[in-house]
Formats: sequence, C-alpha cells, structure tokens
Amino acid sequence: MTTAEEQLQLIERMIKQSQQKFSDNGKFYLLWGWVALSASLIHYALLGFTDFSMPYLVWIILMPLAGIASSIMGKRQSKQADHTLYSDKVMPYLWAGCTISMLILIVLGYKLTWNIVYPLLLIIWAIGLFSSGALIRFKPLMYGAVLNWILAIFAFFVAFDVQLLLIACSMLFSYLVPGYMLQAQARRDAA
Amino acid sequence: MLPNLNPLLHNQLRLSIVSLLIGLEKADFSFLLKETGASKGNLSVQINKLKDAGYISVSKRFVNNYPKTECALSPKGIKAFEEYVAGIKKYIDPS
Repeated sequence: MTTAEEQLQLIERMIKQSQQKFSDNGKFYLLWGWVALSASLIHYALLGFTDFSMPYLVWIILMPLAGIASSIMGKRQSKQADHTLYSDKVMPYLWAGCTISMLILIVLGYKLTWNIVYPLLLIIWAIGLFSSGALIRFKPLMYGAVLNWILAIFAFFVAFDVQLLLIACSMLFSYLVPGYMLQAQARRDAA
Repeated sequence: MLPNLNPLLHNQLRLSIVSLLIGLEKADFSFLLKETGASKGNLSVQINKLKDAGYISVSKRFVNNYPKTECALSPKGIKAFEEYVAGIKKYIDPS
C-alpha cells in the first residue's frame, strides 16, 4: 500500500463489496406471494364453482398465519444475518405501514364496496414494492410495483371475481418472480 | 508512504474493515473475515486496535449456542474515516 490512488481504490472496492451483498434473500416475497396467490385462486374457485357462502374466509385464515410465519422468519433472519444494511432497518417499518393501511381498508371495507377495496390494496402493495426495490436497488421489485399500479387501474373497471385473478397475476409477477430472483442472487453471493 | 494521514487507518486491513463498516449498520466477525480475506488472528488484532481507539464498537452475544461478535462504526470512527478520505483526495488532487 503506497499510493493515495491505491488507498482510494481499496476504500471504493470495500464499500462496493459491502453494498453489493443482498441481505434480502427473497423469503418474505415468496411467503406472501404464495399465500396471497393461493388465497386469491381459492377465493375465485369457491366463488365461481361452489355455493359456499363465505369464500372470503380463506383470506381470514391464511393471512394471519402468514403474518405469524413472517414475524418468526424475520426474528430468525435478524439473529442469523452476518451483516446489516441500513435498509434492513427501514424495511420492516415500511411493510408494517403497508400492513396497517391494508388492515384499515379491510376492516372498514364494508363502508366502501369490495370492488374498490381490492384495487386500493394493489396500490398499497405497489408503494411497498416500489420503495423496497429502491432501498435494496433491485429493479424487478420496482417493475412489479409498476405492474401493480397498472393492474389496480384495470381492477377499478372489472367485476370482483376478475379482480381476484388480477391479484393472482400481481402475486405471480410482483412477488414470486422477484422473490425467486433474489433467492438465486443470495445463493450466488453465498457460494 | 503518505505522511500526515491517520496512522491507525493507514493500514490495509484496518482501512478495509472501516470501509466495509461505513456502509453497514453492523457486521459480524465472519462477514469481515470473508470480505477482507484476512486471517482470524490478524483480523482480531486489528479489530481490537480500532476498538481501543474508539473507532468501532464490538458486542458479543450467543446465537444458537455459538458466539457472535458484531462490529459497528462509532461516530468517532466515521469522522476519522471522512478525514482520512479527505486527506487522500488532497494527495490525488492538491487543488
């Protein structure tokens, strides 16, 4: 180590190295993606092909279970992580904010109509995805957010059962595809 | 050799540790070991030197019965790093 240029290069290389490590391995996007994809398709099937009077029960059962699983995974991940980015601290607050907004919409949804509630949920998810993508500098999440905004606009003009299919589509391309990409990236980093 | 620069940071491994920590909230020993490519003994010695100077804080805890040593840059360490970078830039571009 002799010259100022070499010193600066070392600093730049180390900073780049630390920032390029994805601490997000996509687990949460995969969990919520699979749960909400299943819930929306089951809801759609119960609504269209059975006489079951409370098809929405699938959400009431699956979402809290996913919430519990998510919180256990979060605690375990933060204990085991070998490094913590500043964005890792912001992310739980961002998604907690989205969840609180969603819960308010769901609980008070009866004051609106469900045809309005579901497009609004898509918009809230888009905010979460867009911000998360920017925080961890992962564009597929941001593209997923744009898709959610487009689907939300469509959703305002279609029937409730079609909205369920739009949610399934959102889960597939906005959560599961980026989730698997993040998982692959994390495996490459670990290798 | 570059004179008038903080001698504590004017060491490849210590500078690597601080440069890694500057962008992170915290990192544990195994992460620093992997990213710097240093030996355990040398890394441990240099971490202690940075800790003694008050540049980093070191906390130890157990996760699943395994010890975990976490390091984070202190405000004093951030200031020293910023001054060091400013000093180096002066050598590269004296204007």
